[in-house]
Order: sequence, then structure tokens, then C-alpha cells
Amino acid sequence: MTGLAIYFFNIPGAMMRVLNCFTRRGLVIQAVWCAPVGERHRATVLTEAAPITIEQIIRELESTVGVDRVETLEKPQAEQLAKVQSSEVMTAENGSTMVKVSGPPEENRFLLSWLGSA
Amino acid sequence: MSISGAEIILQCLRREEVEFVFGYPGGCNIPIYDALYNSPIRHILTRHEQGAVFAAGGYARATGRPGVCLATSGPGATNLVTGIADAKMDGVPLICITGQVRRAVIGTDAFQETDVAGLTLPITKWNCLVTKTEDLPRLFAEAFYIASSGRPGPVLIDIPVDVSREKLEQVSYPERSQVQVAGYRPETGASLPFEEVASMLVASKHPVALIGAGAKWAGATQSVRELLDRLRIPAVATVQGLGTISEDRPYYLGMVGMHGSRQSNLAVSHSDLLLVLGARLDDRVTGDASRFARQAKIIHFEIDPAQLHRVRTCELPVIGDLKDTVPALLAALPNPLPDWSAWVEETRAIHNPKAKEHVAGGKPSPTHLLDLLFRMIEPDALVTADVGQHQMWAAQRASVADPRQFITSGGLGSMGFSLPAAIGVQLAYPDRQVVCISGDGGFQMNIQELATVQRYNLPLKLLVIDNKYLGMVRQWQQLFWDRRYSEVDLYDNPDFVRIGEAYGIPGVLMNQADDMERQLREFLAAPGAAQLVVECPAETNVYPMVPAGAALSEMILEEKK
Repeated sequence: MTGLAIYFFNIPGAMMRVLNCFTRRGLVIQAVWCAPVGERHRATVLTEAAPITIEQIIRELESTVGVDRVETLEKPQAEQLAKVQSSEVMTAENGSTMVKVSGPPEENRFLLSWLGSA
Repeated sequence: MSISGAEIILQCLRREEVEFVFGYPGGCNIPIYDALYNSPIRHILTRHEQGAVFAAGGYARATGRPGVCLATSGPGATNLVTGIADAKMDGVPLICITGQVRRAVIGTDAFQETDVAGLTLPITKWNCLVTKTEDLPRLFAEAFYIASSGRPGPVLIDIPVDVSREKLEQVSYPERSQVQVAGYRPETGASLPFEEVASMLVASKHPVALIGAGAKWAGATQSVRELLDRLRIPAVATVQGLGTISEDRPYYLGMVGMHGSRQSNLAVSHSDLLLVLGARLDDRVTGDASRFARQAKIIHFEIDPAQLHRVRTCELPVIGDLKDTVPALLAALPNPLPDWSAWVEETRAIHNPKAKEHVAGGKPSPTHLLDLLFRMIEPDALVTADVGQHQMWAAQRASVADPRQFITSGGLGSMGFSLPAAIGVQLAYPDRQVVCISGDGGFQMNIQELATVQRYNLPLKLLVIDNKYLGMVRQWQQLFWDRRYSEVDLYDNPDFVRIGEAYGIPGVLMNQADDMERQLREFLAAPGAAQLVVECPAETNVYPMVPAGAALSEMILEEKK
């Protein structure tokens, strides 16, 4: 599993152009988290692809209008993210309510802030 | 005084010094057409939106400036799609304006509604749906900036009809120098490895330069010529790079790729260093990528990082505009340079076989015809070619002085390109000779544009090479599919001369070889539009040919006995 974090300016169509770099190659996007990070947005995309394809995608993303930069996630990090399920609400052993969220913490900052944990 | 969205659009076009808009009216762009009614911008009415977008593409390819086309919503917009994809592949600056249904009904599947921004997203460099009339000046400025900077490309602005109708009291237009797009940096400021390029070149025994379209789009043709005159290494050109290097240069070997010359393909195959200047290195140029220039290190000068390492990894990318990078390389070259003349001689000694043709029944040979044509046209003539066998025959012979003189659909290979593109070219250069070469298949794909030729009194010279086949597909079926000619026979072609005459364009049929030169001369000398229909032998092939999946060195040179 490969994870790419794509930082882009949220101009019209930018997010779809980001995703199109993956889908035009017939790749299945396993998961995607996207949220504002400062002045930009970050899309974290998980997919299974050959290293050469990922390199091509990175170059294509970098020359896509609106994209600021691209980072490759460490493989263990990508694999861990791939296992994260969607938000889950459960009762902890001490009786408190526990919310399990998916995606990197900074992309869940609104939820975390709402919960008072940001 | 209030100003409508449509008037703002035309004001934006005037600020960008747009001469022509190629288009076709419909329900959702009526306000723009109403504004055009009194505008100094000249509108060219084509007979199909595909004609409009190819004409805009032809204009852009000939001038280097963005071509502008205009269509209505729904089918009008979808008819632009092939031309937009064509421009994306070849890096041609286009501004496509489409009408859209009014904002209140977008998303309701209203009459003639299509998600144009969605469907053109992968084939445009940038696009947008305008939701606020006051955004029009900024969006148009961004559109022109994006289309014409970096690797040029098509952009699309989708404008709801009520945006075009809405009136604003105040409008401010951004200055060109102020235009910035977040996340778009076409100019790279990084330090570039020219010393390393120079030392790799100096260390090379068998260098070859491969020239693509980048030089002409960067306005770097002269710099590239200067560089090659300094280096004096074997040089080859892609279809889109033809004309960059003058044919009189002893180091120039001709076109490279699937139908390239034997000298070019073998020189590249045997090189130990490939200096690529503004070429994508697509599969038609490389053949089997794993065996492309296998011994060579590749130095790839390219403006768009996305084009690097696509089919073959390069050793040293030089990312930047050729108008900056080539002069910088020239400055970094040592003096004296190694003498590569023996290597040039070696490549020139490779035999370029002349294809043997089956010229049955005294019919005109298409290759001989095109040899004559390129000898007889005016030195500054512009030639458009469609797609297929005639395109490759023409490309093999396109001895033009400037890379903007030979215009064809390369990457997408869009049949139907040549006639509308020639219309755009002729409008850009009304006083120059423009020859449109088509095959019988592609000619019929946009044959309706003969009406546009006639309406605007364009003195186009229309050369139709009629072998009554979809010739390139037939050639593949002959060579690789056991002559199982499936659905390529156009035996029932119409009488093209009479069709031309019905549109008011005089024409002549050439079906014998003996009077070829006179007929060609009279055709080229005709005062207005003229058509020459050449009935060629049906089963003539384009050689050399690198079969799909073969290495460049594995050319088929002639017909099997």
C-alpha cells in the first residue's frame, strides 16, 4: 500500500484533478481523507500501485494546476492508515464515550476540537 | 453604465488581443453571440463545433498564440471534446468557451445540460464553471495565463447563460503581470546542471540530439539551431519537431520513430548519449521502450516534469523552458568541443532505402506526388496534414524551413483535423500559401467545413489523397492481421470533385501519373480555393515501419515478396 499526501489549493476542480491522476490509470483508491490544512487542502490517498507508477503520479501531480507539493508516506504509516475504519462510537471500560476516528489527527481537527481534544 | 457578462467576456478577449473566435451558436451562448454582433473580434462560423476547435488549434499551432473557440452547452460542448484532447496531447494553447444552462437549473438534467467541466477535466490543463459574473475578468486572465505558459495546453471556461446576461455596474480587469494562480508555477527557478550536461556530452563518443515540439513552443528554434551548429552531432526530429533543423545541415538525419528514416532510427539505437530537447518520448517515437537507445544515457530538456521518465528513465532531467536552458547550455559548453564528424559520417552512411511501390495501372504514386508537392510549394507555405498514411508520407518529406509550417495532429492522431486546422492557419496568414493534405477517410470526417472555406473566401489548396481505403488500418491488417481487411474499404467514396463544386470550390481529379507535375502546378497556382483529388493505388504502404512493440532498429523496410 502506498500513501501520498497531496497539498493543494482548493481552486475549482483541483481535488478532482488530484484523484484523476490515480483513476486515469485504473487504480483503485483504497481510501482518501481530505481537509483544509492552513491555506491549503491536504488529500491523503491510499492506493496499491507499482513504484514506477507512483513516481509517474507524483510528477503528474506536481505539474497539476493547483497542486503545491506531494509527500510520500512511509510504508508502515500507509499500511496503518489502510486498516483504520470509519468513525466508531463505543463505550470505554470506564463508561465514557469513545469515538474512534479515521485518518490523520490533523484532518480530524474539527471533530477533535469539538470533543475538546485538539 | 452597466455591462453584461457577455460584454465582459468579449472585453477580456480584446485585452488578450484575440483576433478570431471560431464557433457555433446555440441556446446557452446567445448572449455572447449578441455581444459579438457589434464586436471588432471576428467570429468564424464553422459548420460543426469540432471544426471550430480544430480551426482554433490550427490557428494556435501556426501562430503560437492561443486559439479561441466558442460552443453552446450540451452537444455543442461535447463536440469540442476531441479537439480539446488533441490540444492537450500536443501542448497547444486553446481557450474553449462553452455556454451552460442557467445556474438555477444546473444539476437538474435541464435541456442541453452536460457536466462539461467534469467531462473535460482530464483533457484540459485547467477548467472552471463560472458561478459569479464578477469572477469573469479574473478567470479569463487566469485562463490565458495557464493556457500559454509552461507546457501550453487547452483550458475551458463554462459560462451559465444567466451569467452572460447578468449586468454589473462596475468591473475591474486584472493586469497580465498581476495574474497568479495558486499552486501553479510554470517557471522553475532551480539551479540547473549545465556543467554536468556539458561534461556528459564531452565524454560521449556517439551522441545524438532528438528534437521535439518544445523548441517552437518555447520560441527557442534559433537557439536550438545554434546549439546544434556548435555540437555538430547527428540530429533527428519528431513529427512535431520537423522544420526545427534545416535539411541542409549535414548532421540532420530526418524524422525518428515508427515511420522515421532508417538513418535516424539506427543512429538513436546506437547512440551512447541522447540529448532530448523538448520531446515527450512517446511510444511512437521510442518503439519498445525497454530497447530504446539501450546503450545511451539520456539528458532530457523538458518544461513539464510530468513528461519525464514516462516510457524510459532519463539519467539527467533538465527542467525548464528551452528559451532559457538552451542558451545556458551553450554558455556552459567548453571550447573546443570533441570532433564528432566521423560519427556523423557513420550515421549518414547508413542506407535509407527507397520504398518500392505497387503503382498499378499508371496511377499516381502518393509518395512521388508529395515529393513534388514539397518541391513546388512556396518557401513560406504552411501545410496541414490529417492522420494516416498520407500524414506519414508527408511528414517523411516535409522539408519546411520553420517548425510551424508543418501542422498535424500528433499525439491524439485525430482524423478530420486537417481541413478545419487549415482554415485557422489560412485566417492567421491570409497572404501565405496554405495546403491542406487529407486522406479520403479523414476528409469526410469534417467535410462540412468546405462551407467555411467558401464562406470566408479562403484560398486553401485542398489535396485529397484517395486510395479508397482507411489506408493505415488496412496496412496494419495487411502486415499483422493476415490481410483480413475488416471494414476499411471505402470503395463507395463519393465524387469529391463534385462535392467540392457543390460548395463552390473548383476541383480536378488526378488519376494518371503522366501529367502529375502540370496538374499539381495548376492546382497550386489557382487564385482561390482549389481541390485536387488524387486517385492513388489502393495498397501502397508507408515504409520504413517499426511494428508495434518492436525496437526502433527492427524496421520493416519494404514489402515481403
